[in-house]
Amino acid sequence: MGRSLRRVMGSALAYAFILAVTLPVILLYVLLFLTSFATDMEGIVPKGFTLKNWEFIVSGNIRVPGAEYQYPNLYLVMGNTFLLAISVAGAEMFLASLAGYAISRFRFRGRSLLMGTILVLHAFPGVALLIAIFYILNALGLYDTLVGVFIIKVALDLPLAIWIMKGFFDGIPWDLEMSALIDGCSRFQAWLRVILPNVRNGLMAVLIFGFLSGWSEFIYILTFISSQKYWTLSMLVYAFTSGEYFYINPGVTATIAIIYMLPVVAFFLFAQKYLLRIQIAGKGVV
Amino acid sequence: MRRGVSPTVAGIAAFIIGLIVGAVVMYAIAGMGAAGGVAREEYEKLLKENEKLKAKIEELSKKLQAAGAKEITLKGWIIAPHPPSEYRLKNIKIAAEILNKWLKIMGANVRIKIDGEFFVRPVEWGEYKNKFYLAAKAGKAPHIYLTGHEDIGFLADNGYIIPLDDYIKEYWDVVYYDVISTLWNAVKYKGHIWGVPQDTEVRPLYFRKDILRKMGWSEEEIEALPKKIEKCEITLWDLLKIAKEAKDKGLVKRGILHRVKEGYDYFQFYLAFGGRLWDPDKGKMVFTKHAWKKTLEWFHKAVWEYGVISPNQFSGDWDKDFHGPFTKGEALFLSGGSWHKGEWISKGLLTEESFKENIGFALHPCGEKGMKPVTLSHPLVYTITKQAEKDGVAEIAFILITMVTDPHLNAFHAVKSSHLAILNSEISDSRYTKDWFLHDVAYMLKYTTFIPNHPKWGDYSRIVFNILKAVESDKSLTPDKAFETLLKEIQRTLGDAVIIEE
Repeated sequence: MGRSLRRVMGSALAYAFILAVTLPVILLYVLLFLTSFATDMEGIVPKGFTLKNWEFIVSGNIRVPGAEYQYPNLYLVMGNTFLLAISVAGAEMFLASLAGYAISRFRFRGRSLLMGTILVLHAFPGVALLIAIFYILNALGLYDTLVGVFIIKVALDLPLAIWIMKGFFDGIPWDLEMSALIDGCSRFQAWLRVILPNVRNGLMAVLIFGFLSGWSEFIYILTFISSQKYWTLSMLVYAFTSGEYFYINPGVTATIAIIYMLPVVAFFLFAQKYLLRIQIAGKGVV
Repeated sequence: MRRGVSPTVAGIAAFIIGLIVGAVVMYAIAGMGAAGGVAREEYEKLLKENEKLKAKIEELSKKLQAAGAKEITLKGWIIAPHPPSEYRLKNIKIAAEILNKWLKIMGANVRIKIDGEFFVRPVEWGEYKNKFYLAAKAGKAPHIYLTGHEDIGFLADNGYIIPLDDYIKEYWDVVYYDVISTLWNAVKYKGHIWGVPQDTEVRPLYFRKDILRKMGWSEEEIEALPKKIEKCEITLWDLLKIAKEAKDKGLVKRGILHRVKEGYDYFQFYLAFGGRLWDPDKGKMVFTKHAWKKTLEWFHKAVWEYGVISPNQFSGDWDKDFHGPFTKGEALFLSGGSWHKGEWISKGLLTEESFKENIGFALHPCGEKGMKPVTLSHPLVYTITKQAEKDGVAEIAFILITMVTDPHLNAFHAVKSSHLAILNSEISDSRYTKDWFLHDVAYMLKYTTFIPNHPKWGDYSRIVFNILKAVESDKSLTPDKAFETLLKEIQRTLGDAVIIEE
């Protein structure tokens, strides 16, 4: 009885601690939803409820507060965001799976140096590279294009993705691959048919990280995009949350924030089981 | 310097000129009743010009018919940090629509398409300029670029924009003769004209009439305040005393408010103390020692002796430390801009009635007796970029700017955003005349100054801002010490670009 009570008390304390830690975050989300449906807020309590803040999602037309001018259409902006996020995720998964495999399985001159420098590259803060990136984009004729931002994102995210994939490949025993080769597979066939299915979780992890990275991209859009037709949702949220607060409409701002957030939450729920299985460290060749 | 105007473009221009002159004639006729009649010879002159232009239009339509179907895309970048200034872009679109309709009527197959980027919230000036710089470097600059006149020096010296002297000369009789003459000074640099004024404003010193009433001022005294300031019967030092009295009596929380970020408004205090910023003959910036000494002393005393300016004013928030306290009646004076009136009303901070009832406006007072009151204008200007020249659309871009520089279109913008007219005929536009505020502040243009069109103006401005901010926030930084630092820093950074005078 005493032990059982202690167990219950222990659990209760643990739950209380978790609740205390997560409550502020949960409250933020709750407030965001309340604000988007509120006519106005009295502190953290809505004065009344309305669907007016959601009206713009029918046409996608969003007026600049204080003017008749409209920001780029919501669906164009969402389309750009999806395009960027999906292409970044896909490219990172594809390239990291090849590079991670090569680094994990092949011995070649400069391999250790490459492994070390890859991580150093990831350590550079993106902001520090803005000028250099501009010159590269300029030389490639990719300034003010989403393709330019896509290339930057993939290039800067790839080191971590490669390391993640290398860890997964390291965890696959050589024997498995050898068996495939003995059975007549080419190296590419062994990679594609035998190895890749065994690193599904890793691929999903890279895909998820890539998607989230592309979806939330802001600084490169802000710096290297001047045409509003290439805006992504992060710019729209920025437009609504910055500047003088007299022009800020909290209801519409909260709604846009929710629109920005929901796809990520949905994607995260779908992919959660893969994230939980991530084991980056492996036992492969070092 | 002269750039040839192609026959096609000249034809389009001629057609537009005809319509604009026609509009001016109609305008003149319409205004006769109210204005007591337009001089007969003036009317004849306009009519004659119109006839002449008709012939050009006929010539144009023939040439255009011979040309194949063609769409010319003009890329324009327009900034409006204050959303009510959206007519800066709208007018370009309206002008393009009119032009396309005319072209259609004429049977010409050329159409103008506007690819306009409107930099409104969240874009601020610095970001806008950076984006232009990057775009220009990447060969993706717009054809028409609206910017502050003070950028002309930098843009011209670096080859980002083209001189417009020949175009202005060519179309002088269309509309440019009508531009308020002082505004041309704002677009001149190294002997050339680099832009077309888009709008201008003055920076009044706003005051709360209701607070003055509570201080015991009579209505007559309150109404006479702007005139007294104009006559230099009230100086900047008097302003400190009045503000202190209001604060001491507990009528306001803050005596004087000025802008909260780097800008140009505070140069008015230096000008009021007799300072000069620009020597047009030598093309150099000017640092007047005695005026800077007085300015620094005034700011230091305002914060640390009179306590009427907050030591954190330069680190404040536009809403909490500028618009809010003044419109709520928590501050007596505000060094603002004419556009703020429109902004306060559009934001719902004041109504037209409450503004009229409780807010007054005047020039910035003279520094000391015998000096002059001042205001500062910062005209925005349309420029034509080198990119437009490269893309072969410079002439058509200029024609579009010429069309936008129209009294009716500009009056839309002026009234909506509380900016001042740039054309003499705009002042009598029915929309403009209905706006009593714009009418009442117009006299301030007589006292206005522009900031220098010098490529290194940004450095001058930044150094001054940093020193003023330090003077306000640090009591131990005496005006003398601050002056020494300011002078040293200006000399070190600007060298020969600035004239140091006593």
